[in-house]
Amino acid sequence: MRILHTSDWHLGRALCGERLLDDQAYVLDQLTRIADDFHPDAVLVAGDVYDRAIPAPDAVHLLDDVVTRLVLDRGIHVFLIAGNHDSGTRLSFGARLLARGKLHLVGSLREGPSVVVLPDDHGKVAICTVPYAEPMLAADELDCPSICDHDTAMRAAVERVRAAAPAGRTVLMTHAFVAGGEISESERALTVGGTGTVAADAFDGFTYVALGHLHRAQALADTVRYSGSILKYSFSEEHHAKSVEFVDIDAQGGCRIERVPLVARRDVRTIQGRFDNLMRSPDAIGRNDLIGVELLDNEPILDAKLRLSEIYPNVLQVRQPNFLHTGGGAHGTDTSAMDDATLFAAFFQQVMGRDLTSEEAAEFAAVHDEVSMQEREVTE
Amino acid sequence: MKPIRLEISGLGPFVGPLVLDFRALGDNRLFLLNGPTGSGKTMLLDAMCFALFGETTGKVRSAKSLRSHHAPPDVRTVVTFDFALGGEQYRVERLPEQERPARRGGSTTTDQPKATLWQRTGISDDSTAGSVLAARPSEVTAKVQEILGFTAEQFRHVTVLPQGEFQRFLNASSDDREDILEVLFQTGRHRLVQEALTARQALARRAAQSFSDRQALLLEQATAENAAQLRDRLETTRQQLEGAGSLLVALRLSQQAAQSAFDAGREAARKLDELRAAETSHDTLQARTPELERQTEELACARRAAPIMPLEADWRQREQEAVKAVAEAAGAQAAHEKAGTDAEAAVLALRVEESREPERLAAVHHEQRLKDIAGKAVELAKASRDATAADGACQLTGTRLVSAKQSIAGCVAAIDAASNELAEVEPAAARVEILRAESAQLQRTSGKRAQLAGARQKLERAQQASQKAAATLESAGIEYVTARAALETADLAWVEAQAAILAHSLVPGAACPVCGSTEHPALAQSERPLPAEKDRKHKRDAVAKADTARDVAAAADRAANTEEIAARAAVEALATDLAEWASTPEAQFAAAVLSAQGALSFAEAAVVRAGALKQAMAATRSKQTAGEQERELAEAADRVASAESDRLSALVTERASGVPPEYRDARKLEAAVQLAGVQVRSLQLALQSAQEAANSAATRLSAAGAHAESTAGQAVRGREAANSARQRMDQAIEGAAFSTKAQFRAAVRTSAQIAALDREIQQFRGDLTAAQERLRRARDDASGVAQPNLEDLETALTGARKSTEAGALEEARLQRDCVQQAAWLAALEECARLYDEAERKHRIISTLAQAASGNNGRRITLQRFVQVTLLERVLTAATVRLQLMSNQRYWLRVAQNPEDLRRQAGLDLEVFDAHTGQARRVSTLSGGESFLASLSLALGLSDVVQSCAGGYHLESIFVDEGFGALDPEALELALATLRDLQQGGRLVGIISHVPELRHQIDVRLDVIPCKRGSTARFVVPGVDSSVESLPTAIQRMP
Repeated sequence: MRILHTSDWHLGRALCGERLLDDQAYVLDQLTRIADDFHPDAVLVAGDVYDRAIPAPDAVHLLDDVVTRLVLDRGIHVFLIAGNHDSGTRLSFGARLLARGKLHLVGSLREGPSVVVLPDDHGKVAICTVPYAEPMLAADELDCPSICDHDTAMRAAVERVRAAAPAGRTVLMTHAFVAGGEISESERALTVGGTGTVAADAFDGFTYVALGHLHRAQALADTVRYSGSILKYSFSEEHHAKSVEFVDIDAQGGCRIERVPLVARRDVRTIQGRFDNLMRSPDAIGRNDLIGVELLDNEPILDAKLRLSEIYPNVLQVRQPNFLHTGGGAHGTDTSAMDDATLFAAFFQQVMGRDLTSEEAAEFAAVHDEVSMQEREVTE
Repeated sequence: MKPIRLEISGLGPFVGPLVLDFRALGDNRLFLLNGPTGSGKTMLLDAMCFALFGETTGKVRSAKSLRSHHAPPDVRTVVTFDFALGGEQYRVERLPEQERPARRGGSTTTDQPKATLWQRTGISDDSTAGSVLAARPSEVTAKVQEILGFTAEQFRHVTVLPQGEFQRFLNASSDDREDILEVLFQTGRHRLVQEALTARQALARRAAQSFSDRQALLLEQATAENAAQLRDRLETTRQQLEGAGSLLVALRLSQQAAQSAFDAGREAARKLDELRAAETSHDTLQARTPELERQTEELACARRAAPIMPLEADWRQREQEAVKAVAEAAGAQAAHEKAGTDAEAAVLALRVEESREPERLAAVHHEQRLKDIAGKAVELAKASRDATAADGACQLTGTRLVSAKQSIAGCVAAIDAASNELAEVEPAAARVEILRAESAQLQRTSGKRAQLAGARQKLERAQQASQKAAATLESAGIEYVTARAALETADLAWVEAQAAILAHSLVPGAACPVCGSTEHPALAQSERPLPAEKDRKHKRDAVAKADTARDVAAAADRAANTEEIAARAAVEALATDLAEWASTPEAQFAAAVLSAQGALSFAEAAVVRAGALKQAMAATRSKQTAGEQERELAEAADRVASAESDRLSALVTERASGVPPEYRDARKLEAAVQLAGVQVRSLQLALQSAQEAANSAATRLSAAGAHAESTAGQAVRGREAANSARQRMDQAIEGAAFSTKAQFRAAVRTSAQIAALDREIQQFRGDLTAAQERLRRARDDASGVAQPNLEDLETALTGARKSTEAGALEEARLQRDCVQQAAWLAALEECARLYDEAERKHRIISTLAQAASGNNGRRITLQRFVQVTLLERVLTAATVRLQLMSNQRYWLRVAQNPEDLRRQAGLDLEVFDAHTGQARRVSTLSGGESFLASLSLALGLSDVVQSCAGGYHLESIFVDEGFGALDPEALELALATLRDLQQGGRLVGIISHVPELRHQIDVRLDVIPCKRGSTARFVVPGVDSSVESLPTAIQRMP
């Protein structure tokens, strides 16, 4: 059996205000053509299909198009599960009806363990899916009050699905942050405080585990992998290589895994340098890429973004880390730790241009003490 | 300020009472206040603000308009708000002014606004209020402001960012911002320092001025133009002083001389006077000499009389004693006579008593007899009691015997009855087994009948199915035939039409595909329309379908037949098995079953009864045996008891004889015994007392006799002593040369008088001698002395004194002048010095005051300086967040250059845009950016406030709307920022209707419109509450 493992499509997402839907359409088109070349039996999308709970209409249209092309035109089984960005209930509309037609939508744990058995030349392979659920929601839907965090929730759900699956070759697809994985800036935190991680040993006993949520393609074990997102969704992913995984499962349950790269229509990258240099010698290629600029100048540059966008039309952000703001009334004096006498000395120095003489300081101290005493008397 | 509990009645859309317990949030610090438009989300914030300050959050609604229109008119609008600040807990309750219909009459009356503030630190029970801190609306507001450190206005800037109003801090004027910063960071003291410095400057100036004035005054007092003049004048005065001093010395000397002359004159006068006085006194004394002689004589006589006096006294005393002794002797004699008479009487009485001896003996005997009878009576009583007891025992044993006999009779009767019954029941019991077997057989038959009925039904159904299948087969066959016929027709038509089609496609000149010729003279025509390929295909499909249907029907038919046969076989088998029972009607069969069962149960009952009877009989027999034993024992006991009883009654009779009848009564006997005893004792006592009286009378008599003798002797002796004393006295008087006693008496003087006389005489002698000596000396002194002229001398002395005094006054005056002038001069110099000092100080203070109040190069006051630095810190903290939320595009900072140099350096804000490299006013930000900037500012403010020592606690923040202005990416960033806040322990409440937020924030406070008004409740995932009181229900996530 050959499986195509992908995840984190985030349809409808924008990067610094720039909508990426066309780029997503481009990459998904590539994916369908790769499917034509490699003939997978099933496509597994491990969560975060949409970027938001209520996706934009054109994102919905894109998903409809891609899935229809894979299922109806090519007859491939497609499995979609909800991630932490999706609204599970909305995503899994019509799941029971669509399951007859090879499109398997799994949005929540409420409908019971989801196991679909697909036949291949050597027998049967069970595809088990566990969508993302908040721990408290999982406790409710699995009716298991001992669930208190993501790890226990995942273990309970995996147990349920493992019990429902037949013995033999089994594939698990789920959406989680597994301990040991590397994050980037574009993943939404699963929990405030704590990490929301799941230990990798929760997935023991499956032939292959297809994971989603982390945007970098990475393997936590030989058969436990993240396919990564299909596009770079933040500047921290600049150096990631985006890809999908092809997994061949043989009769004994061994896996041969091949990574097939995806090429985006527009790359996401950062460039650095002084403004003048950047304007004078622009890059020869990739001018239309989505670019984040880091200016190394110390002074502010007028209309930096406007002028840079004449050369790089898709400049998304401009940063100037070296620019120090020493303007203002007090020239950056840090008054937090000063007592009143030192404060006054600093003030005097700044407004009169000279330091206090010792007589002046003594005089000030006398006045200040008197005022403090009066204040105390008033408050007491 | 952290909210704990909010209770609302009659406010806005909340009829209430609505209780919102923020503790239900548990550890969740971020929650979403959610609800449709107009449901009352902002009203909840208004309620909190109103409870604290009596005002609402925005200026749009006034406090009076808070009343709920849904509430019935008698419900009072009230808000109760529990909150924590630092470690303390407080509760504030506030009721606004409210019009309601009066209880009497039809008009309305107005309830005044009320408010109360309690402190309830440490109280955990919600119904206990705590200790009252303030109880009137204005007081409560003032106290709340004091505790929180905010007025309502400032509260709105920092804790509650109200709808449409959150930009106010961002867009506020410098002065407003100054006020807020002053309250938050307590920069007020810098302003106080400024003012103090200015005040001090004024003081210093006045001090300097006062010294200068004093200098002028001093000069005026000294009537000098200046200090130099004064100094010259002082010098002159000093010289004059010296002159006056020497003059005074000379005057003093001359005064002394006059004094000594005067003294000498006085001395001379004195001596002369003395001489005259001495002569006078001597003469006086001389005249008194004869008197002296007389006194001397008197003294000598008194001395002679003195020793005789004691003798006289002695004689008088002895005379008295003698008289006394005689009287005593007479008295003793009389007593002696009386004692004699008494003794005689006592002896007589004794004899009388002794004669009564026989009476005594009789009494003793009587007593003894009575005692014996008493003893016998006691024994009789005892014997009677025993006899009575024995009677009783006898009766008991008789009763026991009777009952034993009765019980035996009863047992015998019971046994007879039981055996009769047993004889009746046994035959029925014997038949029980047979009946059981019959009943079982009937059951089996019943079962088989049921099976037969079932099999018959099955056979019917199978027959029906078979018929149906046959019919289906027939119809399928017909269909097939029809379809085939149709297909053939179509095929035929098609074949015919081919020719027409072909003909149709032939073009003159083109080759015919069939025959190849290019001429087509006789084109085939088709009368009917050309059949379509589709039509044929349909018909082919129909045929195939009909064929399949027919096969299916045939198979079904075969199956149905087989079924029918099988069912029939089953029915026949069962019928044979049942034989005659097969055809028995149901009613008859049931009756047979019933009667068999009836007989069986009757037999079983009989068996049970027989068993019971046998058991009863056995029990009764054993009881009977026991009864027999009992009877024997009872008879024996009875015999013993009656024997005892007889014996005891004999004993009683015997003892009764010993007691005389009149003494049978125990009480009477006892009384008699006692009486006898008393009599005996009284007789004995009388004898004893008579004996004693006689003895004592004899003793007294002898004592009286002795006493009389002794007193007589004493009287005689006393008389003798008195006589001898008189004799001695007379002798002494003679020996002292007194001729008569009268003389002697006249010469007697006390010793004190003697001593006095002696002294006087001595004294006079001494005086005389002294006066003589004085006279001699005075004569010596006054020889050669002349009488002086005292008047002249005195006059001279007075004159000299006067001139000396004048000189001294002059000197003193000059001295004072000197001192005064020196003092003025010193004061003047001191004043000048102080003035210099004050002036110097004034310069210093002036510099400081000017600098602090803004008269400096940067035109900024001290307070403003501090505030600017604080504002910069706030902006730094705010910028950190704004950078995150704007993808590192914006910085917030203080405006660089004030436009007008005359105005003070301000607290204006501007935003630096990295995209353009320029700064611009914050008012140029878009709605969404403006919201992010205000949010960052509010968070930055609270960060800095928290970190200042003594800063106010801003433990919660509420954001009312504004998220709708953000695009999804910005919303994501804003939420990430707000989520981070939770880690600092702050409570963040967001009001928004943006749907994406509902998906991302699971902890909610839902505001739900209902039929009348709205209600609200917390929805916290994973929390199940059993408290179901509407509307505080806390539910699990749906």
